[in-house]
Amino acid sequence: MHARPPSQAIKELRFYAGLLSLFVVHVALFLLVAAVALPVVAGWVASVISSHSMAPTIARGDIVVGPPHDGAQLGVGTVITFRNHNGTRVTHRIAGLREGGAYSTRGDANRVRDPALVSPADIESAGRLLVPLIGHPIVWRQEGAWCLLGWFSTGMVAAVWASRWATNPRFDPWRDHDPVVIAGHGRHRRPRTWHDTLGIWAVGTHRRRRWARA
Amino acid sequence: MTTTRAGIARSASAVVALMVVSLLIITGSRAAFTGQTTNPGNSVAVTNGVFTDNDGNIPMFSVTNLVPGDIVSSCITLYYNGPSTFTPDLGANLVDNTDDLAKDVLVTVTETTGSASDTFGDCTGFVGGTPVFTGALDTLTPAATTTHLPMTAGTYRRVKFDITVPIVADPFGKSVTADFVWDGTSV
Repeated sequence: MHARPPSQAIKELRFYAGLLSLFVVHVALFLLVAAVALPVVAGWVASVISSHSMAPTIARGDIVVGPPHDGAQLGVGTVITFRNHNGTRVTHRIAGLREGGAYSTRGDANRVRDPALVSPADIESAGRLLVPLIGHPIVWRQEGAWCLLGWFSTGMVAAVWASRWATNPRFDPWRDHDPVVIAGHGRHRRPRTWHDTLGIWAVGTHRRRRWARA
Repeated sequence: MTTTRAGIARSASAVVALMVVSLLIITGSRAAFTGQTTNPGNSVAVTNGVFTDNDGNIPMFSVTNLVPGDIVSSCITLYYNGPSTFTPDLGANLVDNTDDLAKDVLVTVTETTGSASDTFGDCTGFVGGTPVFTGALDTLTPAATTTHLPMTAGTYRRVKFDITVPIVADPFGKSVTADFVWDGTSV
């Protein structure tokens, strides 16, 4: 006895669920690339924001990316990443200039300036790019919020798994209706487009097996 | 070459995701970093001035078993040496107010003339003084304090902090950590 094949409506629903998952995976992937690309390629500094001191402009879990500080004088309002007197990495905004080239700093959410001045030698970078949200897993790991990290990881694995409903031709709800033709390759050859390249890591092995059979 | 409906949907998904991420990064970066200026070549000449305190980076308060209704006091002495006069503004940075206790901690700040022999944390001999702030810790901002008297070169100022938690509050088991920060400009 064979299981009844899903109806067209179910197939389409499954496809759209997979599409939504693929969208989530793409967003996470693009954010990750934005946060990692410049530090890797150009040696910029990426700093994960782990407190609310720069809210609302820079939120907890955001990543501030900027070029290494070359010693040039920075203006008031510049967001800098520096090591404070405790050796802790801090990202705050320059609030004033002091004698000897030192800077006074303040978090946007703080009502008063930081207790200690920042010398130019302690500045690691000046922020240029703000990549939102993607630093949350790092913050959770630092804080030992393993439950949140577990939920996030599970969610991402689930999204990657579910995205196959949108990327694997086996789940294509319109497969029998859409003509798929590449000149010279016959009906069963899927067109290779750039979106396949983006999605291939999720289902690549599966798809290769399928086309090897075909 | 033709493509499938599913392929178009996948492409659209990737394009929309890229647009959303780009939009988030561009608008977020613009909001956070607008107003930044890099102005090499400017010459900012600041006359020598010294503004210090006698805390030795030790907290004024480290109270672990405060009983509601009790008052704990501590004193700190500020020193200014520089040109013209210096008017310090006082504010509190709430470092950790997870328990939301700052609104229940009442702070009274009083200032008087100090000296080089003042001992940090010790309020012995502190008499009278000018009240500059009375209120909850979470309202202690430069704007909320009354005008501080300007300090002239080579002068000391002794500042007394009285801290209490009212009996009517429900502070049990809660804690708060704050930095007291003075800041100002000599004029």
